[in-house]
Amino acid sequence: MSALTLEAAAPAPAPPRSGLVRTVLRLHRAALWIWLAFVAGTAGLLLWLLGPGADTAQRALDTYGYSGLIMAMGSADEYSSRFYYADTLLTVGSFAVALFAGGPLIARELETGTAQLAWTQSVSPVRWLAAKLAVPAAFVVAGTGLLTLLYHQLWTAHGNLLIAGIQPRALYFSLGPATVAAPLLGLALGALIGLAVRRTLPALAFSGFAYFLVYAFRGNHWPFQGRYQAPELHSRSRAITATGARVADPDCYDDKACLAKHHVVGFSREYLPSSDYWPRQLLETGVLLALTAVAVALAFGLLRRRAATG
Amino acid sequence: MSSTSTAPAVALEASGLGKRYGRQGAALEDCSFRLPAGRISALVGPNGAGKSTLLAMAAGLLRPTSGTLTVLDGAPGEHRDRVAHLAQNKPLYPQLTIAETLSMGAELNPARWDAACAARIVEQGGLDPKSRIRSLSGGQRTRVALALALGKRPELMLLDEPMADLDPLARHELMGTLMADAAEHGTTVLMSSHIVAELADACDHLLLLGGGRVRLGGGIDDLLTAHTVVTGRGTPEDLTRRGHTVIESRTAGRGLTALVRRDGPVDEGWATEEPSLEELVLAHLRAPAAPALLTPSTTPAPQAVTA
Repeated sequence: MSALTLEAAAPAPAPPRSGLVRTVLRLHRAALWIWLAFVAGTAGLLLWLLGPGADTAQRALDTYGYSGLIMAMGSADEYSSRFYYADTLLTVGSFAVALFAGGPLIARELETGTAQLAWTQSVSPVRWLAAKLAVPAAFVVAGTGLLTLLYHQLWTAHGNLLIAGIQPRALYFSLGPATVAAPLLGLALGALIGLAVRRTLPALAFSGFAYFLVYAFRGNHWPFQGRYQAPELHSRSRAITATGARVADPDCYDDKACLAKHHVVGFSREYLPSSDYWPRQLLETGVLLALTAVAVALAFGLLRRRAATG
Repeated sequence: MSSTSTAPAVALEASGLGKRYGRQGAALEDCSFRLPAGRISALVGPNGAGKSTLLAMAAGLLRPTSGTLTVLDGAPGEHRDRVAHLAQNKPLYPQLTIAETLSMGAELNPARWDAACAARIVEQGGLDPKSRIRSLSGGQRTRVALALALGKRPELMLLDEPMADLDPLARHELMGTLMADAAEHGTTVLMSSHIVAELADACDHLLLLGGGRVRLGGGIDDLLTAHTVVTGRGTPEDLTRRGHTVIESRTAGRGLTALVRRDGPVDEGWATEEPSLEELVLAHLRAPAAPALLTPSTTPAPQAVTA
């Protein structure tokens, strides 16, 4: 409301948004390049896993079925572990977003007085914080959105090359819109902590701890989600015979004579599509976004209480 | 009580202004004054008198705990585009170059930015626009910060110890630039400093803070005229009996030297002399109990008008 009356009264227009956005980009150029490098690197890893990286494991599955995957034929089982590297990278990236928001983005500026420098240009603290949140948020959404899409593609294409257990299930249920919402919550929590603490080092520590809590709850530990079913031991792998019929895995492992005796010419495996996926994903995303909104509202409230805004 | 068109415009007006920091007590308490537009005012006071706090509140960086503050006919922070603030530690982004810092000024103050003016101040110091802020000395940073402040063509400049880091030559030159610019554009300047002698040349108005309030406020000439240094044989009581207010007195040889706030002429027996600004300020700093004096133009309007 005060913004409305101000716009009506002030003859000099507020600076166009582009100037403020350019300034924020310029100030955090280093962080921006690191983020772009992170997204490019992780996307590269995902594309490799989607393409040539999967060849060995795929061949093992085609030839020996699920047994081929678990019997460490060449790098077949390595694929299963490499598959999660991208998830680790995403987690690290999300932590980095929270730390960045707490430290360099907000607290360092308040500590050194450069935030106050910005506020004494023609930029009100509220617009400053809005730009400080919106610009990184746009890059976080674009970056993690792209990575999540690729990861989802990868799961659809090669999820059946994973060794069954709790790990693939956790990944499967955590991957989706919530993967994008989590670093956004990290950004908002970091900004809130930065505004509250106003000193770089404590803000880094508290932001890290706050995001650790988010991380600990993610992956199906939210109280509202309940437990997911115990991991099934059944591999869901089917053998394909020469007649094209799909039969149960004859348990030949890598015994080619045994496979020939059963007329097995190939294998197929479908792993983990679950009707539970979307309800869980959307619920988690909703909760993360709601918490983000609360953190952002608190951050603006704190800022308004501190500085005269107009 | 109606707003009189003859009264000079007011750049800054405080009424019952107070600021507390947690439990540390008050930095300012019931502080009231008004700064007419177009004046170049010196803000002096002992350490911890609330000078920086007052400037930061006027710049819209801090919220007052109590009272009201009107800046260019608006609330603090309402006219950020027309107010410049130079903080004591001269914060700048260390990762930017000088040229980038000035571009930031242009981007954040698009309506008012005077690139030529800002560039000129940087050039005067012989600074390379491509050098990073983090590589500059304290004085060089001050110059860039001042270029940023002047580049936005403010109507009110709030300067917190602006010249503290500068060598005498740069100080003289920058002060000259600042004053010429202020005179040319009619800018109101409120500038805190510890170096009173330096302020005497540049400023025509004084606000002395002490104990959270304005102890002395008004045009420097008016304030100096209102006070006299008297020397002679007598006691402070002799002066007080005549209605003068003795701010500070000390025995000098067989007589007495006192700085008094006159009420009418001083008795024949005393030798009189107009005090220097430094004498006036020091006497008031040494005598915190002396009653406050605000000249009419610096006295805030009654509450009803400011509300």
